[in-house]
Parts: sequence; C-alpha cells; structure tokens
Amino acid sequence: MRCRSALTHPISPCTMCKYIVLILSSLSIIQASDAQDKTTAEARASYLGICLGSGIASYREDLVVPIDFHGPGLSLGAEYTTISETSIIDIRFRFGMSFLKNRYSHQAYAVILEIRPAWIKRLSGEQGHGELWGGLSLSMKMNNLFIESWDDSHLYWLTAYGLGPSGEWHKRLSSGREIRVHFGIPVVSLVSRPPEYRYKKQEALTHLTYHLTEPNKSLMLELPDDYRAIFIKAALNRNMRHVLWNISLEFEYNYCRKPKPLYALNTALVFSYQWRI
Amino acid sequence: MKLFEISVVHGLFPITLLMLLQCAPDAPFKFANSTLPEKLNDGWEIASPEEVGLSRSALDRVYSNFVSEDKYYNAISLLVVKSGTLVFETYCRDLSDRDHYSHIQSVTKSVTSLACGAALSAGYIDSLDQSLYSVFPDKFPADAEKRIVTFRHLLTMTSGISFDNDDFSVELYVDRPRDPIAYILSKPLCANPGARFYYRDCDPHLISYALQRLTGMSEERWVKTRIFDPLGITDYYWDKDHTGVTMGAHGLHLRPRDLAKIGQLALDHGRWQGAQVIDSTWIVMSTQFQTQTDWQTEPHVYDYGYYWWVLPRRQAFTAWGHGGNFIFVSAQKEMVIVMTSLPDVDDDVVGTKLDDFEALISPLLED
Repeated sequence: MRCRSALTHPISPCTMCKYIVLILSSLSIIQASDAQDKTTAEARASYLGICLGSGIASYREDLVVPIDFHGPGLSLGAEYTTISETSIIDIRFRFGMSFLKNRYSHQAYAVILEIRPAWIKRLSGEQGHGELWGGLSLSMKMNNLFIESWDDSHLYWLTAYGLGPSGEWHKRLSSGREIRVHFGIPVVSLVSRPPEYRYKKQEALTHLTYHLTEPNKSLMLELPDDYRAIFIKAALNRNMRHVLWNISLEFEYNYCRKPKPLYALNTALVFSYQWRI
Repeated sequence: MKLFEISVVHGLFPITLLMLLQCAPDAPFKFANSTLPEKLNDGWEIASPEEVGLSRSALDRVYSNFVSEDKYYNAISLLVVKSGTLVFETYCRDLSDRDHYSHIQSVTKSVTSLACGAALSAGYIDSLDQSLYSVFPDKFPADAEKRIVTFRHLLTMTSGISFDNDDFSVELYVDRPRDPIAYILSKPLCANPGARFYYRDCDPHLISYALQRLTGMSEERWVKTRIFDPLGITDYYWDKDHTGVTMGAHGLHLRPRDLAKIGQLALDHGRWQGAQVIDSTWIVMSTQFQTQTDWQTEPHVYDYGYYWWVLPRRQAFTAWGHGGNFIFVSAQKEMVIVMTSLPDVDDDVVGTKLDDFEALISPLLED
C-alpha cells in the first residue's frame, strides 16, 4: 500500500518509517545529554538561529562519467545549540545548492539537504593547549545531483545517514571568544545510491517529493570500506550574553564505492547567528 | 603560548586556501580497447577488415576520433559489419558493455517499423491506408477529426496529433494518465493528418497499441516471435507504459551486436542467414523516401521512410536514437555501422546528432 503526498509522488510507509527512526535517534541523543546535564544541575544556555554559507562543491559521479563537476554554492539553514559546562548539543539543518561545470563546461546542479545533530562532552579541562571534547554525531545528508548535460532524465544521489564519533578542540582566545575545531566521522551508515542501470526513460524530476523520496529508497547498511566521510569545521566563536555567533570554515568529504564510485567534496565559509532562548 | 595561538589562527589561512581549491580528480573515461571482434556463438561471422576489402587506414582514422575524450563524449561502442561479417568492434568505456543491453532510444521506432511490416505481410493490417479508428474505435474521442488517421500517417509522422515529445515522456511516465491511448487521441490536431511531418513519439506508440489489438499480443511479444527469435536476440528489455502497452517510440534496450543484426536484416532486404524474416517489399518501402522532414542541418535535409531516416546522397538509411545511437546501413558499401552511446545526454551540448555521426564514419563511406 502506498500513500500519496500532496505533491502527488508516492511516499512509501517504509520510507516514512526510516524518517521516524532517524528523528527518534536524534531526539534520543538530545534526551540522553539532557538527562546527563540535569543530574549535574548545571547552568545551561540554549540558542536558536540561522546560518548562511557559501563555498565550492565538487562532485565526480562515475555512474555517468568519471570527471569532476565543480562550482560555487550557497546554503541556508537553522541551528540549535545548548551549551553547559560539560556538554554541548548542536543540531543543524541546512539546504544548499551548487552550480557545477566540468572541464568541457557541461552543466550540472547539486542540491544538499542536511540535518546534523551532535552531542559532545568535555573530556579535559582548560589547559594550556585548550579543551578536548568528544561524543557522537548523526549526520543525515542527501546530495542530489542533476547532471543535465549528460543525463537530463534521471537523478543521481548519495544519501547517507551516518552515526559515528565526533570531537572538538576548544581554545579560548579572550573572554567570550574562542576557536573551535570540530570533526565527525560516520562509522556505521545507511546509504542509498542510484541503480547502475536505469530502465525508465523519464523519472519524475518535475515532482518535488520525488527528490526527497527516491534518494531515500534502498538504504543499505554500509561500513567505511564502502562509504567513507569526514566532516571538519574550524570556527571562530563569539559568545555574548544573549547572542552566539560564529564564522566557520567547513570541509566535508564523501566517498561511496557502489555501484560505481562517487566523490563529493564540499567546502564552505559559514556565518551563524543565534539568539538565546 | 601566544605563539601557539598565532600558529593555529594563521594555520587556518593556508588550510582555507587548500580547501577552496579542492576538486575531485578526473579519471580517463575512454579507453583504447581492442577493435578485433571475438568469435562468440551469437550468429556473427568474424573476419579481418582486409579480408572483406575494408581500408585499415580508414578504420584507424574513425577509431582515433571515436576514442578521443574531446569528441563523441558519451560514446559506448562502435561496430562495423562489412559483407555480412563483423570486422570491427570496440567498447571505449567498459568492455562489459558488449554483453549488456542499453537503451537505444528512438532506434526503437525502426524496430516498430519492422514489426508493422511483419503484421502487414501476415495479414493483420489490411493496408497502410487502413484507419486506426477501424482497429480501436473505443479509444477515440467523440469528435470525428482524428478518425481519418491511418497507419501510413503514423509511420510517416504525419498524424498531426499535437503532443510534444518532452511532454509525452513526462506525461506518460510521470503523470500516468488512466488510459494513455485515449489520452493521446484526446490531444488536439496541429495539422490535418498527412499534411505535415512532425516528429512525435505518440505516433509509434499508437502503432504499438494497434499491433497489440490486431495480433492479440503486445508489440514486444510480437517482435520476439517474428523478429528477435529468428535473429537469435534473446537478451533485451523493452519498456511498457503503466497499462502494459509496449513503448513503440523508445524504451527498447539491446546489445550492440544485436543492433548490428537488425541493420544486417535491413541491408539484406529482410533476410537473415538464408531465412526471409521480414518481407523484402516492406524493407524497400520503409527505407526509402516517404516524406520530407522538418529536420535539417545545413546543407543536409533529412528524408524519412517508415521510422528510418533516409540519406539518398549516401545511398544509405539509418535508425537514429537520441544521444548518439545509430544503426547506419549503407547499401552502396554493403556495410552496417552501429554506434551506441549514453542515451540521455543533451544533444546540443554533447554533439551526437546525425551530422556528427556522419562526420565520424565518413572515412569509411568515402574511402
């Protein structure tokens, strides 16, 4: 049985279940950290805000042709942060779009949809070389590629829901100012890629829900031998009484081996501005 | 400590630069693989080019253009059959493409033409001037203007039904009207039937449905029985609309060697290995001028037969599928040339039109 969305493309109950599981996983990370903080009765501050980024994206989709498509991109998102003395919860939602060209000036487009909740605990106190924090992050990311010049009828994608360790290094520069370097590496991931051969002449590219549902079908459990990713972020933070803002340089590398290799590299300069709630 | 902080902050600058200059490395996507066909148990005889009088230097010129990464970007395979023997076969992307079928786009229409010829000679179709209305009146709308559309109109793309090809793909595959045949026939006319050539996917799809109604089996089944089985074509895929009607305009996936068999069948006036598979009169009719087209690239104006493109200046005809899929048949040179390519490219960007293909194979045609 299939139910139909308002935008007419079917969303299978299976796909909906996957979304629910992932949302519950995110909430459980938050809940776990929340409980931890309550036991220690620490002062906490929560912030909610927006982030805006621009950068360079680079994709090589070997299912089509093993040459690089790269170009500028923009992203817009929302961010929620809860900070206490011993833990940080950060949840980020981002929508981005990149305009790509290859060495022949053939066009392509990439659309990114990302939710990245992370929870980290302080592992070491402020020392000469800064603080170390460690924890878990869950990255949920869709990279949708429309390689117009080479295939104007089908969508290509890398969707990955990855769970793995994350860590941060904090270095206080002055009161309210600090540098944070963050990394996240998924170890266990649910990954979806298009099939190697496409038999339908035309996919429902004109339907918005197709772009959300199709890349979430056929999710397979993958380990780092088939799917590898790393997310690194270096941020300069400014924490004022009611406002938290930062400017960060972010780099993400994704590689999936099956059914043919896909490489995705994204670099962005991101400005985030959050208000205390 | 200050030095440490400075080095961290300043260290971000070169890292930033490095990251902004990032890109995934290109890899070769074409390879100079073997051009010698391998003898397989698939009905093809193998010979060297010299044995059949084909110029090695002409083949080398074609090959060097074919494997160039700056031309024919999306090409997959190139095969040359001369005097009934396979003399040249190369796969520039992956050798496994020899054994895997791929979408041949509108080359499907030429197979639909053969299917129609088989139905005509078997007596299922009275004549090409038989109206579609006489075959499936239940699918026609109340207005009478389309009732005069005949098989000949459909085979020459002159039905006049106004249904753009891009819309056809989206509406049939994505929007999925409840009854696709009735939906096609509900479209308005943009010209009187027979008046003007409009290259439309809906016309061959109506032929496919007519064959289904007349023969009692889908076009795919009909073609399997009448054409593919005699030719030994066993590994293929043919797409259907959501009601089960074989797509008459596109959707057929064939292996390159099997495409060459269809070309050889047409070159030999319907005969394959001594057996008459398709009536020779049909082959002659369908591969000669039937209508003037509106497709032209100066100075060439392409003529059209029954779902075959006709090139009188070359004494040749060709099946032509989007993206650079061809079965080119030269009666003058007694040659069949097959090229397959990634099927969904933007023709204007990648350059895979008939003129581009002619430029590629011209050393073989002019030698």
